[in-house]
Order: sequence, then C-alpha cells, then structure tokens
Amino acid sequence: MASLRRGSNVELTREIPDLPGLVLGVRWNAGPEPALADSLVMAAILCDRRSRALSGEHFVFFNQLAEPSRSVGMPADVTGDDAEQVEVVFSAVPEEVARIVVVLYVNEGIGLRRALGRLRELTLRALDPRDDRELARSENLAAALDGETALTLGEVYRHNGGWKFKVLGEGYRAGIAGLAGDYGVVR
Amino acid sequence: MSLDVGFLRRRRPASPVVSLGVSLDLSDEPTATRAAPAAPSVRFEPPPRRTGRPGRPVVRVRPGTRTLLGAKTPAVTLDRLQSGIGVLAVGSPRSGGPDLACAYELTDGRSALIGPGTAAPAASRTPLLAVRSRSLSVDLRQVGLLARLLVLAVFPAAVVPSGALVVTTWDGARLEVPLDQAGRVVVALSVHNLAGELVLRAEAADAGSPRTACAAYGFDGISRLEGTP
Repeated sequence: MASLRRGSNVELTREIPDLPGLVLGVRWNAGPEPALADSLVMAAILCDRRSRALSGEHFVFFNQLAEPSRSVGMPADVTGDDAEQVEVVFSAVPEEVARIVVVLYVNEGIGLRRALGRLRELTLRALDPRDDRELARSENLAAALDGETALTLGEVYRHNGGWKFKVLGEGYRAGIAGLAGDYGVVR
Repeated sequence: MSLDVGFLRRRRPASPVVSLGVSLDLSDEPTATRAAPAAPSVRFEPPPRRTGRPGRPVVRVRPGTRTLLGAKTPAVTLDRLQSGIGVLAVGSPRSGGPDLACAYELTDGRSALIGPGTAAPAASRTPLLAVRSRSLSVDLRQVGLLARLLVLAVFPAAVVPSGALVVTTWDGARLEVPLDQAGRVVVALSVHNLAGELVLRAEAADAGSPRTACAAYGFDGISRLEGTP
C-alpha cells in the first residue's frame, strides 16, 4: 500500500460503504531517547465546521478517555505495533462535529525539554475497527520535524454524507498550548 | 442518534486511576477505605461530572484567571485537561520565602517524604515529582500514578510565615495559597487525585515537623525525609 503524503486524503466510506468507524493508530521510533517516548501523548479533538473544539470535554486523551457522546475514545488494548490508538464510531459522532483531529505532543515534564525532531520515525495509520485491517498509512512524518513539540497527525472529516481521512503533519513549536489555542480547546 | 457501538471490541475502564471515593470533603482525616477500580465498561464511559454536595459546589478555575485559596474558597477542582497536561507547578516566588517539602502517595501505595533537590519516585527514568528549594513540579503525563500529596512550607527559624504559594496550570490558571499560618512547618496545600481530577485544598495547618505532618495526614510508613528541607 502506498503511504499518504502530508495533505493527501482518501475517501474511506466510498471504498468501504459499510465501514462503521476507524481506529487511528500512531507509532514512533524515539531511538536512544526513552525519556522522549515517555512524554509523548496522542489526543483527538472533536471540532465543528470552523475547526474549533466543541469544548474542553471534547479533547480525548489518557486522562479523559472519551468525550460526552462516547463516539471517540481511547481503546483498552492497543493492537499491533502502535504506541497509542484512538477509536471513532461514525454513527455516534454528534451532528455538529465536522472533523476529528488527532494530534501528538510532547508533555513538558521535569527535566530537559525535548522536541519531536528527535524522532526517527512517526507514522499514523487508519484501521478497520472490525478486523484491524490497515486502510491507510501516512508517510514518515518525522522527516519534516525539527523543534516542534506538538503536531497534527491527521483528521477524519465528513464529506458528502461519508467520511474522509487526511494526513496533516502540521507542527507547532509552541507545543500543545499553541495547538490547543488554534483549535479553541481552551477559551 | 444511534449508540449501537457493539462492534467496537476494545474497551478499558473509564477511570485511569484508583478513585479515592466520591466525597469531596477532604478533611484532615485520611480516607480509611479506597473504592475499588472501576469495573471494565462495555462502552467509552464519559467521565463522571463532579457536582459537589449541596452547599459545597465544585469550584473550577478558568484559564488565565487568579484564585485565592483560603477561607472563602478552601478547595478547587482542576478539570481533566488541567490535571493531565504539562506540569503542575507550585512555587514560593518571594525571596526569603520558605523551602518546600512534599509527602506523596502513589496509587500503588508507595509513599515518601521528599525535600529540596529530590526527584521521585526514586530511580525513576522519568520523575513524577521534583522538589527544588522553592518549587515543586508534578509531571502530569504521569498523573495516573499519583494518589495524593501534601505540600509543606518550611520556614527558617525566626522568620514569621508570610507570602503565598503560587500554583499554575498549563492553561495559565493561577492559584494563590496565603502562608499566614504561624508555625515553622506549615502544611500549606493538599492535592488529591479524584479519578483523574486534581482537588487542591488550602490546609494552613501548623504541623510542628514534616514527620508529624505525615502522621497527621495518614501517611503511614514514612519514617524519614529524603533530601534536606
């Protein structure tokens, strides 16, 4: 399967009309930087048509495992070689949600501040939740990273009554605070 | 809208941490019994909404605002983002202010008392807690490991306690905890992890010594101080 470059998309529900949802998985290779791997966090943001988060409760991550409508959540067991996964149930996604953006950030913890440019490899995959079949995979997003500490990996968005998947790969040097500000997570 | 999500087969419990129970009255008395971890659910359960008790509503702190913790507002509850993103930073910014020490308890039951220059847990590759002379940091990526902590302000002899501890969150919320309780060792602040939401409470208790503070707050098994406050 060819990998998707940043900015390219696939119309998943046209190819698989009965696709009930998606598992979005991220995997990385931090090389000799275990402390970087320890501080990475995957999150999903449920956004309206203006790409603004519906609220802070619509930011799904390890400390908020689902949003109020239960359409997006972090699954209990991560399958395959992914480090983290987010699962989407299309039928349960509220009407006002136009897109679900999945992101990765470095949690600024105690000690040295590390950036995503230290990653050797970073890939986003879209899986069929029924059998974990890989439907799409991004190119290696680490290649274009440098001092960024947060990154939009990709998004799932409504299109002509179905759903499309797009690889984003847009980095933020201001980290999760900068990204969250852009998407109106905090207001 | 259909909520038929039965095809989704991988679920985990809604709560990533052991709950300390539902009471928000975090009095000096230690919680004797702990609720068991939530049973695995069949769907993505949204986190419980904390509404507090009649007359004791949950107080939230908004990004970019300043809240004084004291008699009027003794406790606040951080939301799940404020409790899980970045670092919870506690500082005593004024020069001549107290040194900080901290007693912590992890969800696995381990506990310790640590002073300046100490990171915890001991030998951790990625520390959850670090105490410096005038500051304390909690790495919230690992908030699920933390059950509770006590922040102690240790004043030099012959110094009258004054000033304030300042607590900041990733989104710029700022809490100020006045240090006007007489005593050389003051229990200034407690932090309890209630199923992923941190409850911060001004304690303002004269403890006598760090060890008696630990005993008074039910930190059993702490026999020595790591680091030097």
